[in-house]
Amino acid sequence: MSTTVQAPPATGRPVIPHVGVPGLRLVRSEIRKITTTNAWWLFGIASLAFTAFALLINTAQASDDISHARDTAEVFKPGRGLSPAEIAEAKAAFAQQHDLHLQVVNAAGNIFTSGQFFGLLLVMLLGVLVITNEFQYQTATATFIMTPRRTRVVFGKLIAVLGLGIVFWLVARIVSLVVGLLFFHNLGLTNALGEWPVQRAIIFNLIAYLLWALLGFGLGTLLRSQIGSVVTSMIVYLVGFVGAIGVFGFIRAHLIHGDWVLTSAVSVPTIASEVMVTPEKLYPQAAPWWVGALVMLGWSVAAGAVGIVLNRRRDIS
Amino acid sequence: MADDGIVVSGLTKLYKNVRAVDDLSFTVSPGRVTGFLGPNGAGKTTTLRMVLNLVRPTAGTATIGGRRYADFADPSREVGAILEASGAHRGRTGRNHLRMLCDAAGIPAGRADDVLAMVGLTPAANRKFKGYSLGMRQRLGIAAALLGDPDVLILDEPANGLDPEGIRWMRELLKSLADEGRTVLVSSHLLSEMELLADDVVIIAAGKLVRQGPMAEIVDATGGAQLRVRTPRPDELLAELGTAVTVTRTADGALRIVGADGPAVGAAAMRAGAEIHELTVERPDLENVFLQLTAGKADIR
Repeated sequence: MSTTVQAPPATGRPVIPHVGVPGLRLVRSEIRKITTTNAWWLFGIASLAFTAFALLINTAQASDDISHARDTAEVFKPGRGLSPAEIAEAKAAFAQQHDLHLQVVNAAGNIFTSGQFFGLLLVMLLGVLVITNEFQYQTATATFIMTPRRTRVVFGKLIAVLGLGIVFWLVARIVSLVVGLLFFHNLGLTNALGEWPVQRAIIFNLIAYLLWALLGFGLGTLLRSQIGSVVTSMIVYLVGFVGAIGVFGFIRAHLIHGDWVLTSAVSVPTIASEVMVTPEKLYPQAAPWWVGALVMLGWSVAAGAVGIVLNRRRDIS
Repeated sequence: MADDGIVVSGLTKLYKNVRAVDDLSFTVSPGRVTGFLGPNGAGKTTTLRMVLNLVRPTAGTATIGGRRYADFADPSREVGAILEASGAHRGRTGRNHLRMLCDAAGIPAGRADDVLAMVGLTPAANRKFKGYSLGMRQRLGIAAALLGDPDVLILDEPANGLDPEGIRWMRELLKSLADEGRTVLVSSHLLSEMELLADDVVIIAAGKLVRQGPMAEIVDATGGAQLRVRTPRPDELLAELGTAVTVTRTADGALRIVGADGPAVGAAAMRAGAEIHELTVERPDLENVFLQLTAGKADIR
């Protein structure tokens, strides 16, 4: 139509440089989302408070157990009217109680992983919030306009959630490490940190933090409703263990008479988690620890995968 | 240049039994402000959400500069959009809201302060979103849309909640952005504001296109000029004018005449010996045209 040369672009348009590593931009954005609201320090304070409370209980318990074990004056006296088998059992228990090394290792495992129970609940809830906040506060529109490739957004959040799990684990572990070292130093005992059962407890503590954060994230992705996901995850976590033991025990006692019923209780996330972090068998029929880890991973990945598929297709309005 | 525009083609969205958007096609040109008009529930927001890949179309396509929004790797530098004034976390400050968007788009965080200044929100930058008035929320939304200095702007009801001064500010901002050659698509139901702002209009009703084109053309073509005449002897005047005109009588006794111009009415009045007390040419306005075009289509569906 016209042969005139197109006018040069209007002056005054800013030059905006590209910053950030492409794959990590979304992670950075998610971390900023978390650190710019109150959730961050509220959860942090709750986590510290629970860890301190657990340390108080665990060190008191350990103090009792260790002084009991150190009491060399006590001798084994079987009760009257016990069968020989019962006497042998009681004797073994007595020997364990007075095995100082064993008691120190057990105490160290407890103390150095203090606050695990509520810590796991908190990272799970954080995982829920990271995704459901987008819908609760209608920021999903802004987020997906900035990044129309939704799977990328979900993976950015996923990495941020895992990072958060590590931070919460690290803070709780540093606090309990300091308290634990002081505690054992005070008693003039080794801290048992060189012992594999103690190292194992700390490592699996980290894995549990990551898996529960992941499970919360998966639940939030799946359910989208913030209140719905928070309530569901609290029920799964708090009622899940006792409830599942009860249900599977009932089935074993009244419906299907096979020990595999009790073993299969590991399919419930809370039991899977306990099976994973407990060095010995949680109960005689319990599945091995790695089955617990796989079950936890399976639940998290399944919830997350369904959530991602739903998120890709879902209308944001 | 045509590549810079927005092209909507056969767009359809079916919700259960409602055709929210029904085979809708229109184009939006660069360098102009295009008003996107329709009664409540006409499908404006659903259309814009489909253009931005937030809602999946049942059928049809929408492209910006020839590409689907979902295929933009880095859209914020090409397209800026605001859809909801309320879309920010209540407990986050305006500045942090923009910074987290900068992070996601790979834009330096300092750009947040630039756009805050552009929309006049600098004094409220560190205030939490829950303390923002509706007008401030709209300004924050516009700031977010401007982060990447995009060539295409899509704004859904940006004037909602703005005070008169804010509405004028918005008008001048959008006009100046269009003058720089950008494509500006803005939905609204504030018709008098649209008449001042938009160069082109796209009018939809019940999910379908009603009319598209330059504002002046649509208003004139649909409305046609009408005359307002006051005379003590209306019957004699009308007899002289004949049957070529349509006449309605207004409540205050004036005549509203379509189909004759001022000189014709004046000449007829002279022949009829009818004294003229008032003769006004009334240009149609967008509101009348809009109501005429969407009559009967604005029902709740």
